[in-house]
Amino acid sequence: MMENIGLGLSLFFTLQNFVAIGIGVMIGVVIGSIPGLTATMAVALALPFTFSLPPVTGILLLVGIYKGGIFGGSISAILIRAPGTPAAACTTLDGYPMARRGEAGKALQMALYASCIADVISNLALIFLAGTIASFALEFGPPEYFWLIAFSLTIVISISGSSLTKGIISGLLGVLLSTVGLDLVYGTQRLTFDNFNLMGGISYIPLLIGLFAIPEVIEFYVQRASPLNVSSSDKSRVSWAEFKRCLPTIVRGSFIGVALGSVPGIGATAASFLSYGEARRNSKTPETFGRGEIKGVAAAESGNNGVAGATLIPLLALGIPGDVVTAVILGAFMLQGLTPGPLMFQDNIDLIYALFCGMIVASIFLFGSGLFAIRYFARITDVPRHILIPLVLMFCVFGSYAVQNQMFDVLIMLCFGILGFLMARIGMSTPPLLIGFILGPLFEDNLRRSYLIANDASVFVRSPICWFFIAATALSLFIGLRKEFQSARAARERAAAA
Amino acid sequence: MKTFGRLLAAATVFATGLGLASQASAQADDYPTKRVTIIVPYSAGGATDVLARQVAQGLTEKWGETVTVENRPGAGATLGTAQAARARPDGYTLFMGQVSSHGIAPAVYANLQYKAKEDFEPIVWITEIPNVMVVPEASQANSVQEFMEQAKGKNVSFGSSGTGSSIHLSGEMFKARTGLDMTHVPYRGSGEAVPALVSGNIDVMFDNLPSAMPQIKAGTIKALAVTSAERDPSLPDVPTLGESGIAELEGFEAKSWFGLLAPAGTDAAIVEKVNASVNEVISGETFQSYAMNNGATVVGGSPEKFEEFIDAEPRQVGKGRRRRRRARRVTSFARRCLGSASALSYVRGDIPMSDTSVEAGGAPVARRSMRDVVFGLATAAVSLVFALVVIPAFISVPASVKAAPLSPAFLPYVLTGLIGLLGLVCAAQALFGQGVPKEDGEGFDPASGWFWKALLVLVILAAFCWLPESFGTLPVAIFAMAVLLVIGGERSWMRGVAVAILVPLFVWLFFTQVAQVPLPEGPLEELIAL
Repeated sequence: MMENIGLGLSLFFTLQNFVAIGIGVMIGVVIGSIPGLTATMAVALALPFTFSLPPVTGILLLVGIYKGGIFGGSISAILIRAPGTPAAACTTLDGYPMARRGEAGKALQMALYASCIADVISNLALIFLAGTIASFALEFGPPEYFWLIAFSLTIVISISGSSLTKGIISGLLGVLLSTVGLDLVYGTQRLTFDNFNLMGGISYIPLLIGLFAIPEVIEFYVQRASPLNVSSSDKSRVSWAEFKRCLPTIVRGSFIGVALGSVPGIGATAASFLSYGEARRNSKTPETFGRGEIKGVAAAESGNNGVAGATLIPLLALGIPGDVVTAVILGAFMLQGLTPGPLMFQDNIDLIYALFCGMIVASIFLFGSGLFAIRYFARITDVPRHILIPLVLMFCVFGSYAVQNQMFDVLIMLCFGILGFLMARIGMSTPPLLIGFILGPLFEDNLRRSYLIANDASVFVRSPICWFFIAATALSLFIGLRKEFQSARAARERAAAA
Repeated sequence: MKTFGRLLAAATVFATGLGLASQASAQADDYPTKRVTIIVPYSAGGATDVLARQVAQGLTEKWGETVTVENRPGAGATLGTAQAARARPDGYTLFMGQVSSHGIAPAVYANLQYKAKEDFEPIVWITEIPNVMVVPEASQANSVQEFMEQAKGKNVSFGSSGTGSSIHLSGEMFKARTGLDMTHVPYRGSGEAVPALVSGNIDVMFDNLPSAMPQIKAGTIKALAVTSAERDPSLPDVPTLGESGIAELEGFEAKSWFGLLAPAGTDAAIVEKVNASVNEVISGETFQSYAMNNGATVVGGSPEKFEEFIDAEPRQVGKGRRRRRRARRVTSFARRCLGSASALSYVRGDIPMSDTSVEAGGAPVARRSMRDVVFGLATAAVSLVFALVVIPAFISVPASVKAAPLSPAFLPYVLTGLIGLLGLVCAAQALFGQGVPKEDGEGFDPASGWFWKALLVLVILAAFCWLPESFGTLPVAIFAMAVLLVIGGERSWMRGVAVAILVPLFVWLFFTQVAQVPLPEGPLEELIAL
């Protein structure tokens, strides 16, 4: 063991590895912060550069970009309400109100702290528990996935905003929209109206940008008196007390991220929303969430960064990529003539340890380059809004176009922008729509797959994992709904008393 | 003066033409003089993308001009392919074609925006990848023969990376040849399907060799056979399906392939030049070792060889379909709206074949049964009654509302009318329309596509239109509907139950919840009063 670690360390401690991680993290932060350019895309574009590098260096470059990208997404999410990567959508909920209040620097700092802590926890989980977690992840068949998703869907309760019914409608609309395109099982077209562009479904990133960033743009032009600029160059920093208050949230978020990250196919977006929902439910003041609660930022960012290390668990331990990014990284391994999986732990253990070292170093680099980036990025809120808003719009159009180089996606972005604006006007919150859109297909796919493999409803209660999630779903529904009703009643009583 | 002008014009035109012509010949000689783009119809990082980037890098080094890869993903590779087909045929836009864009999609999708043969000029066939029949480690079967014995009389599930993928197709071909009872369980990508196989949630899969390779090496899944005609050098001990000793599987061949194409009309000289360059690149050491590591066989060769291969391809998978597509082109607009076959055509005796499910080896997979006709007629009747109830509500719009057709008060009436009209369309659809074939290949779902799609959209619209009084119940109903529809897709009795629950539920909701919203002076209230 010690010998292996020694071998790994000697393989890792080369200048080029440090350079690769540093460059990777910085590229990731910058690309991640531009709406429409995702971490996935950055990793894929960097892949050809790894051909000529030694295996460890090449893969660490990709891992650095991935980690940087997931944090980078939160920068634009907080500053201009346009999530740079899908996983940062949840960060807009509280990060943007904070920035509007002049606390952009604080929000960014908290996002960075949460990201880095979650990253470290995730790495530790990968290093020490990879084997155990991976074999547990394999226990998840379609019925288990189905219940896990059902459980995740209950977070709609937590992110519905002022009205639960409106939140549920919003979520259902998201589910409906996610069915557009080719049906998974039969390959028939659903809700495409013979439109060729809709065959692949509604693109995810245009929907996201439209739903979150565009309503702000419209709102700015609709309002006669534009709100004054709030300067952020104040010394808004995260205080020690605030950090201590957020720490349990961060740790919880990290574990949620690790859990969801190690099950292939769920992803960072769902993890951040689940973490956010849990944080709100455990809070004594749930009403502050969505209005610039720093815990909200901490929860969201720890949730999505907790996934970053954990998605490598199924990849390294089983050779199974959990998401698109890890699929690209798997490609990088294969190009180097390495096959991740149990065999790699036998044949190339030094390489594995070198990778582990690199991932921890990547977390430290992320912290450093994050602090550096925040200082400059936070100034963006000082730009006068009548100049900033057109720039945001430009970025939105660019970002939507960049995903598939298609004007149709820009159209989708605008349509969802208008929808988001209208929803905001009638007090319907948009995050449930996003959750429905992301989890809807997973929900449906696993429901149908369960039926296909078993032809029998008893498959849904076939294992302890099923029962666990059934209980968790029921409990979550019960507690969540009771809390909602209680607060609604309290509000009514207050109104009556007044 | 006039004549002079004309002469001048003619001269200009001529000179321009001359210039263009000389340019054209020059084009082939010093091609490329600027950046060349290879369109890849998948997102960055996939197998096709990585291959294209390998080739692009080699070409860049060779030509001294940058060759870039442009990813245009979407709609199962068909979106990017359609864009490539429409690109200018000047040799500066090339396309990385593969079995999906030129083999499967033309056979499976009716409304493709490109023609696989006519819109493209094949340049060179680059690689091919066999599929491999794999089972979980825990499986009792150690050979295809044992697998067949154990699967007899049982329902076996086979996984794939998605409907219409080469993995799905291989499975369907196997099913059609052996006659085993096999259920297709699609996943989104091999990355999701392989874990399901490892853990035994699905029984067998015909995965692409490269994506199955790590697990085969690790011993978590067992390779029973490869689907190519010859054994694969990376798995020399694994027999081909043809060698497995099963008579029905003799000559079985299914594989994925990749090749470079150009939009139709590209100069033959340019095609030749690209072909020669790519052949050089792929015979180089870098590419060979890349192919080795990925379990791919390098093919290469002339454009003609590639063209012959592609020509043979679609006929393998969907012989009958092309004929039908030609026939469909001449059908009238109205018939196209309602579909090309109908319950009545069953009575007439010309039984339609499947339109959407993949047919292996051109075998017909779906037939309309008497039960479907009965079900169709029942749906038609329900829809008609529904329409007759709702349409009067639309016709009797109060004058005050009619006067202001853009006012919000008018919207409910419009939607109501649309729902009513939809009822009529559904009735027509059920009577004359072409249903969607069922998964098991036996029979049609008479109330297809339009009914559900349009109804769902309208229900959502109606729900929003009647905000906020109708909150609460309608979304729940919509969700129940969605779930029931999903489940209802599996078994006909479930579908029956779904319709039986949903139609009354919807009618009830409409009249109790929606209609209770105070209208200016409503026909609905009169209806309810009745």
